[in-house]
Amino acid sequence: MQVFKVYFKIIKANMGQMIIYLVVFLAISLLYSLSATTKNEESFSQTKTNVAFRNLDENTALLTGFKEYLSKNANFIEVENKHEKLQDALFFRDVEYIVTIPKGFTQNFLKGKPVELQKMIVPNSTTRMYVDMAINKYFNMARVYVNNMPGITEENLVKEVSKGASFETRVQLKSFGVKKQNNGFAVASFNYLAYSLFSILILGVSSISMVFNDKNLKRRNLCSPMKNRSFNLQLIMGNLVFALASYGIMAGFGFILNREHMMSYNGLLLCINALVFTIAALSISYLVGLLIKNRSAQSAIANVLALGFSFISGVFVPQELLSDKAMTIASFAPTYWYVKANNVIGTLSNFSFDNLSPIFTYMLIELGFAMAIFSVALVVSKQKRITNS
Amino acid sequence: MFNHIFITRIKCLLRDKQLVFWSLMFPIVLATLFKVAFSNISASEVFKTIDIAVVNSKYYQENVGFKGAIDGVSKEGKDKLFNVTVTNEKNAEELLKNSKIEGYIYLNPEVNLVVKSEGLNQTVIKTFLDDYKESASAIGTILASNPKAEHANLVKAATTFKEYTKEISPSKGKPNTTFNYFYALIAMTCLYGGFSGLKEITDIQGDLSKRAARINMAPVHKMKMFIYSLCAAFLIQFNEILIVLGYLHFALKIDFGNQLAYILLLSFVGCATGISFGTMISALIKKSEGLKVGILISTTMIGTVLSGMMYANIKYLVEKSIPILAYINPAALITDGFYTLYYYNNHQRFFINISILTLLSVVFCLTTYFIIRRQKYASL
Repeated sequence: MQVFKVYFKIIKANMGQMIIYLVVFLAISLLYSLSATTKNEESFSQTKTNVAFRNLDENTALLTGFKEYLSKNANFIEVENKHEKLQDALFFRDVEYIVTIPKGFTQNFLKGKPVELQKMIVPNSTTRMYVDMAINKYFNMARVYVNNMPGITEENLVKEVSKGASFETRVQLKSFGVKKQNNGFAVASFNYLAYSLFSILILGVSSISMVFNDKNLKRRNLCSPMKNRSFNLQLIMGNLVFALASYGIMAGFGFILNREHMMSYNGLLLCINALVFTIAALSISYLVGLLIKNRSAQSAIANVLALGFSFISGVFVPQELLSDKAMTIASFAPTYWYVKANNVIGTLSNFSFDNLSPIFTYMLIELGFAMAIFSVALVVSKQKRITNS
Repeated sequence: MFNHIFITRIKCLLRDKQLVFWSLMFPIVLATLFKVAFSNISASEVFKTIDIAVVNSKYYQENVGFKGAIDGVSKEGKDKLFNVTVTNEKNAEELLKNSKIEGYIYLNPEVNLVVKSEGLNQTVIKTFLDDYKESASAIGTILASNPKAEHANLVKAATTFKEYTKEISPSKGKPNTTFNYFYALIAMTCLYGGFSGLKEITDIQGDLSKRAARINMAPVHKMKMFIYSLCAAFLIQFNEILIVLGYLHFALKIDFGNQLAYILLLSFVGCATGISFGTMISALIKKSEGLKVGILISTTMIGTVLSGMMYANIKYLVEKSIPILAYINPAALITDGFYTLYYYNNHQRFFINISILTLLSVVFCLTTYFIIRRQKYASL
């Protein structure tokens, strides 16, 4: 068992970088689970937009009523009344709509003069459309009242308009038997695992192969009376144990943090999927390890591969938001199928064969990747042996 | 003498593959990945016509007002709100179940909406229906109190929509949050200039490397030698920034606002800050190179995270809650410099950023100077 023991001595000597990835993973999973909230979707409630409200006119009844009216559609956010602060708030989406009421607006409006509110918006956004609708509705209604009920007081006007607003449409929420489960955070945590686990495996496995592939060391090892088969078997065992241990720590942590959601078939499937992905990641790491020659290349390749796969496969940004081109490229990476399977598992509530079959297909694709890459690795190592001897 | 040291140092730095990778290739790779990942994020905010269905019933056919309102917002044109399918109830439910539509409307004779989940699009449909009901009720109220009003005119008045809002552009640039990721990335690239600064110190402090020990034997003033080598590091770093900027602008189409002179000034100062920061770290920490690199990477990472490279809103949060942190973090200052150039109409804040960055560079340089000056070695 000398080789097996050496394996873990090398891992221990190279722990530093791997620990960083592990700690970041644990921290991010913790953040995900802390921000998990269970939302109950039984009755319909409107989505509200963050709006900054600046009134340069006086606090007239018309405008107070307007603010009240708008609060049905908007959360009012206080922003310091400086142009640059407002710009900042809009850029970073602290508010999505800034409405400014110019001086003398109420007076002019009641006299029927043409008036306009100034708005700063995120161009072409849905939220803009929606707040526009509410604002225009209020003032259009008010205009109709002013024009058609001569002598109406401002107070009565506001009362009538807001009375109209109380007629709400009845909204029925139909779920079609799909139980809304909040698996989102467990899924996010398991998706993120694709990045951390992959980085750790590349770093670990390549550290080992760099040591054992060193020309002089290799020649010396070949002289030893140990059978080649036993030597390789121990290395393979080392790789497997290392990969499983990394998987165990990460999946275990993900499991504990989200235990309410994980004690279900969804949780079980997430864990199985992660295990399948671990095998695929191990095979890639093995291939990379064969090709890396020195330590400085190691962290560069680990970073680029892990980050690259994760970005295009939707680990950091949801897959729906990626462009089709990126998805096509990503489908050549096991990470893509892993994330895809996770996302399906997250929404699953009915475990019929029809619903499960896409998940198993994705897992099979991951395994297919593992086999294919492993075969390439075997060819490469054979090639290397021949050229070396 | 200058030429000799300068050219030799340039060769030294360029042959360090690891250095070139981290300060040039890595930012380019990361920028490409950002582009792939974020290109659709801003598109997801953009309004798309909402697919809905209306159940065809006798109530719907009889309700001329409502039919007119639906037709009004589903007409082709700028203000098109809905794609409407008129169908029977069973079909509408099927469409909703398969997520082909966001919701369907049925009349009994009251207007009702059926949706599958909560969300912005669903809220837009509901707001539209509420509006319709309000208009109807308003007409009723007015007729009741003012019987002289003509019904036909009133309906016309209630359904003619006057625009009461006017868009004023907040600035010359669009508020595209994703740009901040790229600005923070440039800040990271500038600060990665610290690697070459770090290397310059290692190669000139006799107790840190063999090469430095040899160089210290030469009868050249150490400060002169150091400044010459820093010039080489600066030249390389500045060119790398220009390459990254060029790649971002021309290949990835990132908008920097068209103020080339200011952008160059900011890159110049950013480089200086990055390199001097690296020299300071290297001079302060008299331990192994691994530790130095580790500390440089981690401080740079913390700085860039706080300036929004992983999540853009962090920059805004920091500015809002702990403004002092935004003023001493070089990464945030560089990011903010690019941000103000792109987004602001004036240069006030840009020059505040530039001044603080310059000040920081001076502090870093002076610290380095006081540590490495007049060091002689009895034996090496």
